[in-house]
Amino acid sequence: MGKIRPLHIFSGVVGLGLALVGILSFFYGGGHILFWSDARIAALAQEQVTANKVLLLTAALDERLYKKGMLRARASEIKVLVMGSSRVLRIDGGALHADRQSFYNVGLSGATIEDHVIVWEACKELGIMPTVVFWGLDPWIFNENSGGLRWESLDADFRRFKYSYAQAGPSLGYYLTDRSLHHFWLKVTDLLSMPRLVQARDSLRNALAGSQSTVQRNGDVVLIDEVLLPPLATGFRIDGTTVSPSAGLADDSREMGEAKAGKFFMFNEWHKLNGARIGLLEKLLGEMHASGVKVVGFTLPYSPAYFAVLKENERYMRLLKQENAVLRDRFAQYKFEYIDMLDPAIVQLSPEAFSNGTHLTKAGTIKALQYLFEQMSLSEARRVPLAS
Amino acid sequence: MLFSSWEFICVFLVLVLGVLNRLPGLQAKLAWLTICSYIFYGFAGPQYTLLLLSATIVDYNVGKRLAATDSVFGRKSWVALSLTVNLGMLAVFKYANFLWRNVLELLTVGDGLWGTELVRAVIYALQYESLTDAQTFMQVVLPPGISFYTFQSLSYTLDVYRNKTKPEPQFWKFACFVSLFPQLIAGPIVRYVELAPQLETGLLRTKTVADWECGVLQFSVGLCKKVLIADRIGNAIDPFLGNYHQLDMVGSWVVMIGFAYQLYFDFSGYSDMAIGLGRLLGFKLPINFDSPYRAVNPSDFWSRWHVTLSRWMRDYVYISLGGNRGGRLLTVRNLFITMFLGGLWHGAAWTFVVWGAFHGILLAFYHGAKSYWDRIPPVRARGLMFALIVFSWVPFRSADLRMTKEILLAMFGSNGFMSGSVSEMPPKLFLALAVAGALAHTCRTNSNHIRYEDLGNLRVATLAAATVGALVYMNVSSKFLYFNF
Repeated sequence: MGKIRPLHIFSGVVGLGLALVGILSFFYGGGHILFWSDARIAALAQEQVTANKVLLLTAALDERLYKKGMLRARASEIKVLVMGSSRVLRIDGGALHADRQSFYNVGLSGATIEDHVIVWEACKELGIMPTVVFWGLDPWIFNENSGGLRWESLDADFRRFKYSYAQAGPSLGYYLTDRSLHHFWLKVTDLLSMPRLVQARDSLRNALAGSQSTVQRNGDVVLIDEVLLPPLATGFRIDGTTVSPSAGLADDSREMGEAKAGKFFMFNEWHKLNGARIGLLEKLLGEMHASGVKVVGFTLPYSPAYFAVLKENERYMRLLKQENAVLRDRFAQYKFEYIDMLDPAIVQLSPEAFSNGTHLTKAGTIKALQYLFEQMSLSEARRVPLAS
Repeated sequence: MLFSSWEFICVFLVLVLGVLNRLPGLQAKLAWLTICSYIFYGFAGPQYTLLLLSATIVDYNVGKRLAATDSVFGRKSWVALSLTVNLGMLAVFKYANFLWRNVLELLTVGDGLWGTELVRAVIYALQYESLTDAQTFMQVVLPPGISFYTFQSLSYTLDVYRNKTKPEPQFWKFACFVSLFPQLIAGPIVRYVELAPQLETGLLRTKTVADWECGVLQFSVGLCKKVLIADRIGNAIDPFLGNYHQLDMVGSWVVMIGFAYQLYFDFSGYSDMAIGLGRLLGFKLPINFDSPYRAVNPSDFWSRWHVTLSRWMRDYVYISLGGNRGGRLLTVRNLFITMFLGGLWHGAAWTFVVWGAFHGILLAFYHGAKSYWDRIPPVRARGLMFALIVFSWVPFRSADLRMTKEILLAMFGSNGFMSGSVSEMPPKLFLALAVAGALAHTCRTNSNHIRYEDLGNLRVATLAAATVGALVYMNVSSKFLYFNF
């Protein structure tokens, strides 16, 4: 037997260490949820609808798969749909004068145009044809996907759309390849990441202390009554809105600091404002229009403090202007409403209406929507879709 | 593609080494390594590989022409072509926007001077709305690593011109020298005479276990430096640097000392990874850092910090200007010009000019007061030198001169001694600073001098455990700071 060399020890310790991290993350960090099938998520969604409880949100949950599962579970009821990013997640049926049964909020964190395409594809697949879609558009809508799991977990849905689009539209080379292997790679590397390990540590600590864990040992996600939701936890209601999403002040100061240093939240890819991505928007609006869906586009406000920083950067403001012109033009093409409220001076909200630089509180959201309704030029837009 | 990414470690590197070690013959190995290096560079943007290829083709042919030409004028013409192409690429991609902005601003100085109308005409002609918009006319994205590989390629033609080396007859070998992926984007800047012999012997010889050990372990040390120290400090101080006008005296010192460590562990981490990768391929790349924060004077610092750049500037700029052959005054001038250009090499901004000039003055001062400075006890000299270096990082880190001024004033107490910014800093920052400080100031043996093949079991196991931590943190790792240059 040969001598044990430093390389052998190094390889052994690294191998064992990574295996341990992987096992912990898989069983306690919720890593296994990433490997859930569509069907399993759909079963969870169905269970939530039946039990009428809140789903405790964990970093382990694939939000996109879950929301699609919920669409499936509630397919027969949905008439009013809210699309957008995490910034729309506080919009509930009440704020839109819609009853809870007919409403679903399919907001997805950091949503870009691909996410919106996927939501629409899911609706078509499930036979959901909403009367009205309230569509929250964000400055980062045309960003290229940042490389995380995000919409890639629903890559197959997107591919269906892009193939039909590619016949007529400009080249979308990036999307015309099968990325399932890439998706699997992202899952594996996610399993060996620090956020997942931290979650595993916390879950393990809770399990050892005998207290309630957000992710159960057997792989089930916790469904609980809303009143029992821990104060700092976030959950999804069955209408897709979030409960107690106390967006962190630490995140806020970081966002603000970065903005002052010239980096903007989720808007670091200004050069990606290209024809192909705008083409996706056109195609999507065209399909919605052809289906007889009424679309109301809007951009929720940023906080006065955050927007003041943005205003100091001429390039950023110019790009926002360009993007806004594109959105306004494309919505007008199909006679859809588009109300831009990004500048907080438009709605005149106080700083208290914001939980951080980019997210409104529930009260702030209601105020912004009041303004939206005031601005909607056609009075029928208020009436038509909202009564069930 | 970052060294500190799963894609690089698990896919790219495995593929490169796996195929390389099975290919027969030198030419095939050189071609494979060159192609892989271009693929590696292409991840930053496929269009940038054209620049790399241009520099390679021009300098390869210039080298051959230089050897075939006897006339002084002919040789000067050929080397001038190489200088024009390499420095021209730098001028267009790195400095054109800077020059354009400054020309426009200069023409509007004093509001109403002769240039204002001209600027208005330019803004109108370019169909921009304002001066700020017009300033973006020449804005181009800086190709990563362009400052490094142009200098490396240029050193070859200059050496051939000076008859210090013979021209390379094999294209693949020269292309491999220019594009070698471990040191392509951020150095070490290798001279042709150093690498050329190794490109044959290193690739052809069978790697020993010691080679693998040195390579893997030094790469891991670099990974840990980058991910566990530099990134952790960077994440903690960046928000404070974003709100720099709120920094008090203690806070500004903490933040700037943090940046000093971040930059050192980031760049030296990259260099360790590059050297480790070199060992895996069969090369021995030159060291780039030699415990720079243990320097006792400015001259000592520059023999320890970014060693390969210092060496390049010394050999091709300082000595070309006359070095120390023309008396004290000319030596001081040459030192100043060299450091001024060194500052400009780092970036097209006045902040880098100030940084370079500061070091030029510091070196000139040391040159004049050497006999006094060298009498300072080593511990105090190290403290003094570190404080001066921390000062010098202020313009280096600043987005503009206003930020430089405000941070420097804060360091002297203009915003109060300790008005609150320190209390907002995360405790982990202080832990990271303590670890970084201990490693940077007290370790006599740095990562370049460790005999990895003789490391004790406990130390290897500790390094392996730290590497697991670094791998787990890698998903949130940022790009290397020197990729911006």
